[in-house]
Amino acid sequence: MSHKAVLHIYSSYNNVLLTATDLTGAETIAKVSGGQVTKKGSDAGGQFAATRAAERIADMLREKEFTQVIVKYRGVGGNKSPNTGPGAQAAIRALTRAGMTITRIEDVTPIPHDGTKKKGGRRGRRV
Amino acid sequence: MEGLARIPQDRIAVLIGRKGATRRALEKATKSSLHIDSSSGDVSVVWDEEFDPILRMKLPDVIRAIGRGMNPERALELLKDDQHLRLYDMREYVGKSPNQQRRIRSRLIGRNGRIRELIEEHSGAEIAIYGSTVVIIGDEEALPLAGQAIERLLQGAEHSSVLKHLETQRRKKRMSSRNLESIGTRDDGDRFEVLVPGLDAARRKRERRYKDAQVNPEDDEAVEDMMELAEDESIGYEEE
Repeated sequence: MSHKAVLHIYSSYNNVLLTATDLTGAETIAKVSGGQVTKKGSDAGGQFAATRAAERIADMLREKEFTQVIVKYRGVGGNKSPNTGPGAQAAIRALTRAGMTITRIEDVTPIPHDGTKKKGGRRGRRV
Repeated sequence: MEGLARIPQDRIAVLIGRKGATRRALEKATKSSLHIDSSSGDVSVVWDEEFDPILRMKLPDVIRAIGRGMNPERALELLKDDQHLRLYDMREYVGKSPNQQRRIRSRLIGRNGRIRELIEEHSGAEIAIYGSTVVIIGDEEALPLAGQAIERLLQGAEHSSVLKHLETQRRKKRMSSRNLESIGTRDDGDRFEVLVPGLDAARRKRERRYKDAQVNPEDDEAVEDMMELAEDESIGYEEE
């Protein structure tokens, strides 16, 4: 019987963080980030880095006999952009290709029910 | 049954399409069945037994894009792997005041849609501005370009500086792609030409010109044409 894990995917425009936990979410089983699999810092949030990271975490999970995952993906959220980065989708695609079964998929981007003020002044960020 | 999004009243018709065409296309592409509540605008979905996790992740985006004024045909392209969506809300930048929203909206669209057109053209993304939201659809290269431009306009940057930035970015991209190609095709031997800058290019140019001027001996038709021309006495030397 294979075990089930929860895979948290945090995808911003600058990086992708993959963390696999048990079903309670309290015990981390494996973690990989986009920066660990690329050389250039600015590539860490891209699709290629996400694919590589997902392959690696799939290997790590398989080693520990996890083949089913529940995916919870999120963008930056909060008072920043609620859009998920390009990495989340690439990671999930790579995950299915690496032979993991995704039983459930969920967007867990934090949405403020009116929180704090967004950064940047009245005239915006001046470049 | 899984709730996806709520879309405005006047976009429900667009989501369903003429005689349900858009809705059917969407259901076929994602192997699901959509339920649209036409009085509240709530859209929910029932998935087949075997679902594609990527599509399941992207379907809410498609619905949201159509609900926020995007052309349904273009929104369906969002189901492809390399197309992504970004959504901006003007209210986050200028607050609830309708006048301010109107001002920002006009800034984004420009006279006769000029600014929007320019951003789309320079980045290759597609923009829909509807009410207080801006939706962009594009690939991984187009999205950051268009997104940054829109973000800066929302934050109050001047049109000229945003457009100038877009133009330089595009030029830079074109330059880098050209560089890559030239590196890929060159075959460097230990020949003398490689050592002298410019000589190699000149030699290749000469060879190409020489090759174009000659008739391919394998091509019978071309050879015959040439022979005919050579035997034609009426063509003078100068003409030839």
